[in-house]
Amino acid sequence: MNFNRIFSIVLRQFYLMRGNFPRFLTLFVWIVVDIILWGFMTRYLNGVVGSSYNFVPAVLGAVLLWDFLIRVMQGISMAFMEDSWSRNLLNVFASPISVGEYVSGLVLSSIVTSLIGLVIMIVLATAIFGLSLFSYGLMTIPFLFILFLTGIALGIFCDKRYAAFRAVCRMAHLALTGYSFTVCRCFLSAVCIAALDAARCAYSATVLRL
Amino acid sequence: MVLSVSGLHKSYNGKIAVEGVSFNVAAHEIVGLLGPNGAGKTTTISMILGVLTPSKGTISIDGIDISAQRSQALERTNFAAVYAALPGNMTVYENLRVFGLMYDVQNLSQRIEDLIHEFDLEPLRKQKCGTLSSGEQSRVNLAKAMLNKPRLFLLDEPTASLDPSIARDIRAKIRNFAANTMGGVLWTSHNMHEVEEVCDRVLFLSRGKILLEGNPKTLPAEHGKATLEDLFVTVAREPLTLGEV
Repeated sequence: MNFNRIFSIVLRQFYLMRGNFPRFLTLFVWIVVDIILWGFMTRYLNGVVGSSYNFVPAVLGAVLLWDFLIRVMQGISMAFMEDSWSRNLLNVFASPISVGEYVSGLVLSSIVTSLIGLVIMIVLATAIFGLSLFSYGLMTIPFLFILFLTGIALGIFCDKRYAAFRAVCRMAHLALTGYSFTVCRCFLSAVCIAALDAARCAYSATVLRL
Repeated sequence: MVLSVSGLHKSYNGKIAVEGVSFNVAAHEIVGLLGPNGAGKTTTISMILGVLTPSKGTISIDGIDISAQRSQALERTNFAAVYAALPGNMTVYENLRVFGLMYDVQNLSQRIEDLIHEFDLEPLRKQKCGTLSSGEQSRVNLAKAMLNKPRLFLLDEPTASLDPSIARDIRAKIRNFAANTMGGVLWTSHNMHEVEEVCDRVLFLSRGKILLEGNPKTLPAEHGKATLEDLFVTVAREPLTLGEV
């Protein structure tokens, strides 16, 4: 492994970000939208349900961790697709760089971009909506690491060429993690819809009674 | 020898693209690899670059077997091809820096400055490669290909789509490279006048095999043709009328 070759892949991603503001913006704009959207949703749900249950750690935490997983995966697959779209793969693989060094470069650039996203999400969710990752306990740290590894694995193996394989991987990921936050998110979405419906019924009943 | 190719074969699902190709390129030598479209030139170059794995045969660059020590062999080579432009969304300087790191070039900053000066790229330094003209892109490609001072320089139609003035400049730079360094050049082109002017030796490839080999200035007469272009047309249309080398 040659550090200069690995660094060249990271540097390429840095140059692409630096030279294109919208590309830089996508590092955090969608996760900010996601956190604000789901943050206000949890506030609303907390208001409807009252103090019996706190939706912030469940819903907002799920969204945050899901976005982290997606960021890690996209960090790798988008960097690879970038070389494919710009027809640069021939230049890269005709150079002395090995596949291991190339993948290491992609992983390293993904670590940087996903950490930026994670920090922004945690700051927003904590400052605006009062989410505390400490409320999950110390097991959050290995869980974040597992999510990170899953994202890397999906990013490496699931490019455009293996779209079918990607679908299988995602299904397998959902099945294997069992109580995955994806399932949690789907379940909570259903709960949210049911809660909203219940609130609407209660409101209608109150109005009709009046 | 800078390049030794021996018994090279490549087939795709039973269809033979390259069959038993063997040749050498010495230091200071410019060898032309000629042949009609689909003859196997680009496949041969791709195998030399380590992008394609040969079905059979060996390739040594500067005495290093590419299948056993790929990175070490490719550190000694570089290439420029009309179909392999540098990423258009990075500037000239950024591309040179990224590829310089990829080739692990020592004293990279100084090397980039030297190449920018040599290829007259100073006004284009901060310009994105995608916005350059064909001639400017060719100069940047050549600068990138010279970054690691390669022992073997591969050129796949480097002057295609260039105007005669720029093509002449590029030919001069490549001749200088062969004359002033210990490097050798393998060149493919469809411009027979250019090949005759630049190459010390040519190899005619047809249907994956080398049919003819020799000096481009004397080879046409040896086969009863007036010009290299006539010989090329015969190779392309009636290869069986020519004796195998």
